Amino acid sequence: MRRSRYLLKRSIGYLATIFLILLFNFVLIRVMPGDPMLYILGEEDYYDFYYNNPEYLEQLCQEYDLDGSILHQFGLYWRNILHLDFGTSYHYGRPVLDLILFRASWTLRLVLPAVLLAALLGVLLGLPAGWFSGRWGERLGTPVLTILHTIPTYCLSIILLSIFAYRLGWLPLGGMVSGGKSGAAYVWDMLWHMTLPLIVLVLYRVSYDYLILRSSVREIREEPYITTAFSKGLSQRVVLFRHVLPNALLPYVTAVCLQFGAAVAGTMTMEVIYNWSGMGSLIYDAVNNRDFPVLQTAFLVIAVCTILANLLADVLYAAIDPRLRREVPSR
Amino acid sequence: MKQRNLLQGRAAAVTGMVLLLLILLVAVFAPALAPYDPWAMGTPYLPPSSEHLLGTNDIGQDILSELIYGTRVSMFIGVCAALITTIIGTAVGVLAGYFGGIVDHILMAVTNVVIVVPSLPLTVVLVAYLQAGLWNIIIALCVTAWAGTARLIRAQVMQLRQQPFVQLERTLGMGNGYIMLVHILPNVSGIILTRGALSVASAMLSEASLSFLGLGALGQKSWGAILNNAFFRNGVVNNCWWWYYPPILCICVCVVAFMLIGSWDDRRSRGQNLLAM
Repeated sequence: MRRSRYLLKRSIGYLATIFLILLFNFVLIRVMPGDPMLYILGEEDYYDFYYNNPEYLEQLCQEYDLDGSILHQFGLYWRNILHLDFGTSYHYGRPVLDLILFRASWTLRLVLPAVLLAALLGVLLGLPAGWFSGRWGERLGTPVLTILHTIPTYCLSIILLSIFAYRLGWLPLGGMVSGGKSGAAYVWDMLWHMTLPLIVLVLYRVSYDYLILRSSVREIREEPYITTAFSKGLSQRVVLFRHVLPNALLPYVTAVCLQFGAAVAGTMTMEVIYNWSGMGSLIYDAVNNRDFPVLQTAFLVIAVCTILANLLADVLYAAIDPRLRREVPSR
Repeated sequence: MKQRNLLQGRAAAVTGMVLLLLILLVAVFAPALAPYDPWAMGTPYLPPSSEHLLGTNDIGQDILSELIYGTRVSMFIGVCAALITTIIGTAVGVLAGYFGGIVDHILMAVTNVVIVVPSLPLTVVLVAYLQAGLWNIIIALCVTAWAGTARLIRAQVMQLRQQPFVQLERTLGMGNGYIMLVHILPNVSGIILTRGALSVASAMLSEASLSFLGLGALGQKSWGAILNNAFFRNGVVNNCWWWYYPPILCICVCVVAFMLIGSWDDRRSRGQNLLAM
């Protein structure tokens, strides 16, 4: 009962967030100086129509009722959104949403394995570090990983790219797959191209995961039930894997889910460097082409993905934790 | 008992402050320190030599001078953005925590919305619309950054509100504004300072990401912008390590400095504040 009410409350909050983002997108177009059509179409198409086909521009203007009341415009805006119509990118020659979802799938191919791998490594490193905290391994590892976390992804990307791709030539300079391959060769080739971006993402995320798990293991170590477990005569291994780990994983799993948004943002600059045609490169190109519809919808899609990840974290939290503590860890 | 590692405690904080002081000095005395005008062109692609300590870029600008002047831009943006975020975050946190009830509900609803929105993509969208002026970038950086500070401070203020001295003053009929400014604020100053230091670091990181994506302040050479030039104008392809390693190092050192300061848990002075009441 409490659990479902908790989830309901969170969901309402998330829906409100999505609503506000859509409202923000609507207002932004109309508040900015200049013709709102410029922002609805994107600069390239706007000037194309402006010089070559002014009648069509006029017709589009009426379609969006830009001279009419703001309320009517707002109604039209919502009708389009409910029909999942975010306009067409003439630059790419396809509907904006199609384009973005296609690019998002390429970003997910990087982000999902990276987040999972980093989470796994975080456990492998963080569990012993928290348990044996204070020994030299932990005292050396923690500062090293913390410093690693301060290096922005694009800096790390450039360093690794210059060493492994340019100087040593072990890995490709960029791109996602070489052409003309299929089946196992295709997958293998994609993995080869993924290696560097994946390493960068994992290195960046793992330190954060490590720090979270380490501190929760360290707290659990002091709990009375651990002392009880030892006094029952259980071995260290049993205590560690049956009593410490499950309890430490509880906040950890949600924290990993909550990182998703940050992880997508982290790939933005990296995709540009490795020429990976995902969301990040799409946003980069959209900014340079002043392709506003793509830019706005991409932002919306990233926000929705982040919110879904948050919701997943809440659901997992409610499912795993019988106590349903209120404070959900977040960054 | 919280155990400390190399990156925590007083020594680490002092190291951070010394680093920061050095960086600030470089920013202030940039014209005196820079050996060349960062915009002046000369022989391109010179490797480091006694004449150009860090070599030159593709149009022959001295990279050391670029970096020294870049310190100014990066620090200015980082510090201004952090000031604004910290002020907004503190105001929201103190008001929500102190008044509770409906004020708290509304302010925290806004905060929770802002926290969920992915900040870098939002900043990119805002800068793309606003045109990349120095202040537009600072504003765009502040839009989401205040929420974390607000949450932390609210939690702290909610605890403080229950303290006897606050209850006592309310009973004595002191104004809410007076209590908040004179008694609540000094007690959260530790958090405000540490969060402020971390805000500078994160604002500088975001600014560097924006500049790297070519969305930096127009005509300003920040560290991110130098890195952007190095990458997109073939510094990496031509193996000009003196062009892209220095800005990376500057960004990292600066962030570490702020992180060291921010990680200093100001427990003792906070305790003294409470005792002095």
